Amino acid sequence: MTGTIGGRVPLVDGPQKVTGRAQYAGDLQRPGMLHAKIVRSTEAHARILSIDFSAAREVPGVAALLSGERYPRTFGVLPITQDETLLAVGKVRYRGEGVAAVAATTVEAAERAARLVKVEYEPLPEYDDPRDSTGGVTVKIHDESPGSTNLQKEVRQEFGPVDEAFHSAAHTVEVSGTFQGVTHAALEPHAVIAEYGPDGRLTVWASTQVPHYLHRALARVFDLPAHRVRVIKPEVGGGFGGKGDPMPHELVAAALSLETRRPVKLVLSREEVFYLNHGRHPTRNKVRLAAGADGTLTGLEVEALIDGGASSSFGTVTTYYNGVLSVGPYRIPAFRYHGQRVYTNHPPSGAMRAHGSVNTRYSLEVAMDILAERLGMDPTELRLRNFLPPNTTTLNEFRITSNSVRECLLAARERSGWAKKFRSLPLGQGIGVGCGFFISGSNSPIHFTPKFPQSTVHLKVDVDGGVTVHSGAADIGQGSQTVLAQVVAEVLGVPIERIHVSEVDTDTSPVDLGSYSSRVTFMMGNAAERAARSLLEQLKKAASDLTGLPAPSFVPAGDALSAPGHPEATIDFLTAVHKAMEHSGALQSSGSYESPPLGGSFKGAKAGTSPAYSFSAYVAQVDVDLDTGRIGVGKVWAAFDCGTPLNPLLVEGQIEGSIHMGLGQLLGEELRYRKTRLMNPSLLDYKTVSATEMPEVECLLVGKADPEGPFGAKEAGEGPLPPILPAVANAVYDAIGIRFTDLPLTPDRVWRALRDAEKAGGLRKPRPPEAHAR
Amino acid sequence: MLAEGFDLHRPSSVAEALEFAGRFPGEFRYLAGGTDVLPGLFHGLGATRHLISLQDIAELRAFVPEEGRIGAMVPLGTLAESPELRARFPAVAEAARQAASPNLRNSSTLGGNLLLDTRCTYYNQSAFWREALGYCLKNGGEECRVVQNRERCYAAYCGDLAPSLLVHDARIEVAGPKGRHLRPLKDLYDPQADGRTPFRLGPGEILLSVSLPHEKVRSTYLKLRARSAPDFPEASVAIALTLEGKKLRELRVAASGVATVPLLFEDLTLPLIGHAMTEEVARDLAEKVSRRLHPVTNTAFPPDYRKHVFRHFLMSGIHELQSGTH
Ligand SMILES: Cc1cc2nc3c(=O)[nH]c(=O)nc-3n(C[C@H](O)[C@H](O)[C@H](O)COP(=O)(O)OP(=O)(O)OC[C@H]3O[C@@H](n4cnc5c(N)ncnc54)[C@H](O)[C@@H]3O)c2cc1C
Ligand code: SF4
Repeated sequence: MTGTIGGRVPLVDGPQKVTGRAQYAGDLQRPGMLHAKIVRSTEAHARILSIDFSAAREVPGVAALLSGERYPRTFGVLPITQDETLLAVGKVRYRGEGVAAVAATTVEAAERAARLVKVEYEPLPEYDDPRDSTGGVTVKIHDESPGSTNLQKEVRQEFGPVDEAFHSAAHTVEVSGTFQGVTHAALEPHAVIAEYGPDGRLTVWASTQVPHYLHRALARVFDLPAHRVRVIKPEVGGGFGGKGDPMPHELVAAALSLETRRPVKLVLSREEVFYLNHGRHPTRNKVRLAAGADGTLTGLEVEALIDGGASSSFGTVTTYYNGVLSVGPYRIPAFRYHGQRVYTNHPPSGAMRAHGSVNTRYSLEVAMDILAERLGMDPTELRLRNFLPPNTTTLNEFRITSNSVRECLLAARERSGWAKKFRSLPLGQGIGVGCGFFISGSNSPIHFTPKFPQSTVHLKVDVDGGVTVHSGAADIGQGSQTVLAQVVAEVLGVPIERIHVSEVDTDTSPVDLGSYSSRVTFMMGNAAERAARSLLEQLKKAASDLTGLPAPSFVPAGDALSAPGHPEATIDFLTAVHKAMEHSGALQSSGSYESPPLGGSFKGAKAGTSPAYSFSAYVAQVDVDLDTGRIGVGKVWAAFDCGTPLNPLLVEGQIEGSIHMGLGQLLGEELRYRKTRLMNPSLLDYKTVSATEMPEVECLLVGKADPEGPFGAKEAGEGPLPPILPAVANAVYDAIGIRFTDLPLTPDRVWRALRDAEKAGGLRKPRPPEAHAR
Repeated sequence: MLAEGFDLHRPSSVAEALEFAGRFPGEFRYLAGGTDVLPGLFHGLGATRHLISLQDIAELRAFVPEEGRIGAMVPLGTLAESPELRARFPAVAEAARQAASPNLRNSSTLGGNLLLDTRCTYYNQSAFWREALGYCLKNGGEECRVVQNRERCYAAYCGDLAPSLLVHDARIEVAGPKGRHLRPLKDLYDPQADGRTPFRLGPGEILLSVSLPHEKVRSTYLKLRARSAPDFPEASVAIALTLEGKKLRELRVAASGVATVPLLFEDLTLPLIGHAMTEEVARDLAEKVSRRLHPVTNTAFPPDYRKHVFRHFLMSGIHELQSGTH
């Protein structure tokens, strides 16, 4: 074995990125290329009365002008909710939605012409607060909503004796949380080039997480056979869910290319990215816990009202996830959920890192903390008492296999010096805990037809001994190319330099469902491992042919195949490759991954099922400035179970990045709306955490090998995010005795709460539990 | 992308710059580091036909910290990193250190900072955003969006350096069509004017340099901002204080981010000279000063919070300077 698995292998595409040579969609040029600009709606909800292109048409260099009616076919990431069009048709549903588009020979000409397009609107009632969308709606945002509502999806689930649990509970705790919308803020703004060639094929280079879904949407909207559409994914500068849907501007560029028969480039400004949004849903939720006198949980009830913005996106999944992703990591014997996702005239919400789980997790983990206090118990003890064991099934029939949540919590508790600090630090300083779990790939693919595996990997060996890997999984900066290379190198026993991972191109890459739901390492990794094992069989056969020893006696190691006990029979990799290619001139293999059948048979049973789950326990230590209300997060002990970490360097990067993102939502990020107007569509006014506010992070990777993951690995892309928010909030409570249930915890809000507490009888630390952790 | 193009001129002397200015009356702007001018132009704010760059005028780059002379084109990063400046004029070095972000400080200049356009949530937005809402007073419209009225703009002056220089009694040198002259920095700002054009600088006038008096004064600068980079001040205070025995020999307090201009509170601090600075005196001063602040809801934090932190900073700054922990 080469030791690449488990090693701190730097990103294979790192050097080209840090030297500025990586080509992102915005860097690409095509001969004869036009530039496009979208005219965006100044209204939030309005009928389009007319669009006047006459002045725009006069601008020198203008090649095409487009409005929504030309290509009115709907699309959307989920087959059941295709409610987006490339430009507004008939009416606009949010401020910033595209109403028209221009293609011109220069960016400046396109912008000048776009500004001259005159749109006449008739305003309609605007829906800003999701509570106004659940009933009494006079002009629906989408006609599909039932009755007089703007409802997009409603989920009701109930398992076990819920009423009974709350009736007979020794303790019940209720937490109502309010969460503002947050957005991905990926470094690279979305960009696309579309080229409809003389061969009648449409080629699209897009900054996307899921080339396959974009491929499908393009074929659908333009009524082209799929083989006449080609999607190429260049380097992508981060996605976090914001590049997971087929996006309207991508179809606009394609439409303009179809119209002009020339390549068309469209790069969104940062402000336009804010309007595109598809970020985390603004949400109001309520979490109720029932527990016995010893702290054993007996029931959980969750309600969520979710602001979907103007379209569906992943919303149906979000609505389920807000409920079902709260059934772990604790054993819940009775569970009820009511979730509603409504349309409003905000930019669309969608999937964002730790999709659908963050807000419920926050309220739930705060509720656990409150429950522990009621019980006079240490909150780590309460959690340890209630954890799900490995190899079990939840009451809603999630199959849990590997699970090291207990080890996570014990490690974080030990490393943080919890026992000495909890409730014992001076006023203003505190320590808190939060746990979580997350899917390692959604078990149910979004598209089931035709029936194909969730991931396939092709390997092709060149005559020079280089191995080219073709996969449809999108590396969006997270390092999936590196993991692919590691897995293949490990199985073949060759140095990682032999492996070349080619970019995603739907002409040559097999289908993979893309980078979302933390599925890539698990599913693509398994497919890659199988492809490599199949290749290895061919090489062993070649070695056998060369030596006369039976094929199974060969093992790969050190860039060669050797047979233990037969030192003379060692065949170097290249010799084996050449032998295997004899007569055919080719050496290739494929491998694929299909998840096992999982989940119950009730409605919505597939939502949240996954072949494996990651688990987490974080402890955070904070310092609250009692004069200014500023929360300083000093250190985080992040214990995470991703099974066997294939590459600890990348896992730690994901954990640190997740903590950065989670702290943003907790401490400062919010899409600030005044009615339907977004007040802060810029990275100056939308307050992501800066480098200087980042805490020290100690990563504790304590997972054990997962039985089904590639080399025992599970996800580490999203699960590391949710626990940081409640861990810090619970630490703030430990510091100043104030519970915060409305995010974000900006210093002015904390100051107000501090002042109120002083007025109400003084600020003090919460009392320590009677029973301390042993 | 820039809405409309412009011509860039690069004079190599002050005289040449003034000549360009004379050639395009009302149709030019000076360009220093461009960190305020360019984001504005991208948003369609302050559009102009001609940009006259001050980049190549050597005279404006002179920096003699021992003598307290700073050319208008000296980058904030240079000020932040100068040990001499920190030793003699600590508040100035500290204000520079806390301005913007490390990369912005490489191009941001002192002159541009002193003449930084006033800011407002309803103004520092794209052309699209402002058009969607309808333009406000500062932008050729009829009404203010923050404080309902048709007369006065409340955009906030958010430069970091001005208060620190004001408490060090800085003077500026200005060149104009009629020659060069020196005047107190505080005269650059018109407290009566509103947030549209709060600067007292004649057409074509160039800010050449800032000079600080030589006597050693202890000073400090405290800034409220959402993040430690790159956010603008939401409220900031500069304090200069020297004691003679237990009595105040010198006390000056100035503020930024809380009004349309940087504020200097001489009338409130002068009567305290010669008296002891007790906890009560400090609290009373903080109260009086904060009554003069008029933050409005046009930045990230609410006005009452900005005032609260300002008071807290003023008191803790005085405490710090008195206790000599500086
Ligand atoms: C993201 C971001 C964050 C920022 N944060 C801060 C902050 O925290 N604190 C802060 O104070 N500033 C901040 N700034 C603003 C800016 O960077 C600084 O104020 C900087 O010092 C401005 O200097 P400049 O040389 O770039 O000015 P420019 O943009 O070149 O000019 C600004 C104005 O001054 C005029 N001008 C410049 N020099 C002269 C001169 N010598 N004579 C006459 N007129 C002149 C110009 O015509 C223009 O009107 C920030 C800017 C950005 C983009
Ligand atoms: S304070 Fe009022 S007038 Fe001034 S920029 Fe803001 S909205 Fe416009």
